[in-house]
Amino acid sequence: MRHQPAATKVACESRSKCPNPIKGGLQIYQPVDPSFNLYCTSGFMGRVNVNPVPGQWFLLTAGHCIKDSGGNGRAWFHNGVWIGSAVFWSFAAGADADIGIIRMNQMEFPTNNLFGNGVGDIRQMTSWIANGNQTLGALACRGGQASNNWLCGTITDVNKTVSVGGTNIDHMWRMSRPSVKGDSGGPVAANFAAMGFNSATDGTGTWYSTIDWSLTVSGYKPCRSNANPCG
Amino acid sequence: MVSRFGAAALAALALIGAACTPTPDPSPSDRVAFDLPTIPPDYAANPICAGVDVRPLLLDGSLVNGVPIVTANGIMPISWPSGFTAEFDPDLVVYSSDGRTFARKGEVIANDIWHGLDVCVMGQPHGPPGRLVVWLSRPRNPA
Repeated sequence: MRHQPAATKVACESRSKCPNPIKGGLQIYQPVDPSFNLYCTSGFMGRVNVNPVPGQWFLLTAGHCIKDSGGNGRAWFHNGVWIGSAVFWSFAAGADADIGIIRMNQMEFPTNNLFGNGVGDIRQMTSWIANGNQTLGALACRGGQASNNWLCGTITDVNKTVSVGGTNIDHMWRMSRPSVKGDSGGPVAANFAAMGFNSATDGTGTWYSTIDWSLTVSGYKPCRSNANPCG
Repeated sequence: MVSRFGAAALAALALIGAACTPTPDPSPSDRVAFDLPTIPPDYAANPICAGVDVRPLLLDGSLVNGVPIVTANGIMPISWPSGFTAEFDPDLVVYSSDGRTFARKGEVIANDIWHGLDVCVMGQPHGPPGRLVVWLSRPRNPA
């Protein structure tokens, strides 16, 4: 059965209020306690790589967002609406990627949309860039809900093991523009090609896990079309 | 001669007077300053934060059996740059390494940068899911 878009489509006003369909680059949060929330950023909508099931959609974000919020099974929200529940995370010492997966609820539908440089820049991701083509000096942009911006720079480091807050994560890439805490999980991309997921900031640059390594670790990949299942 | 009632009244007035007499604050040397837990040296030297954005985030702290417990939101232990101390007068006051008042109980801990310190809210390293801690460090490249 094909999932149809909601009959009434609500306008996308900001990263924190951009309802169905959920896109990359938006504010997502988990109410970890009755008195406070934990905020991160959506990366890309995606699907399981092998034998995808029509109607099953997933949101790809940072693994540490899932871990820090309590792990699998926790409900995630956007703009007060439950969007799905966490089903996977990778962020232990020696992990090959900082990647987490939220299984979307049935109100969501496939999309390869990304919230780029504002509400006027909702772009379609049509490909991703393999590790071998993410080379020093190449263009890389990142978006996040906490910084609320879209910054472009260049790749400065590739395939490094990095201690992020005391946890060594392997195969990290770095681009030259900083992030803010809460941008975690957000997209790294160049034009219409996905590159990875925002993992950590060092004050001057952003460390990220690539799509290839995230796919290897999790078995999920970004949507490159709005088909069902997405391509 | 003072009646019994008068004597009682005088005693009461004396008590009231004593109660109203300002008691000098303890001098700084009388206060007990507690060293606050510090971030790991390797993180202090190279802070790379895989952090999350927790809101609201409030400074909290109390003395429990003579031990200072300083947290965010009452449950997230905070680690500080070296030299930070806490006093309780009776509420928590945090002092920076140069002795200046840095923050007080109830203050909002800003996301990302707070009074010049880099704020990293993250999961406890090597801990189970859901255990959040706050690490405060001096930015590698101060603005």
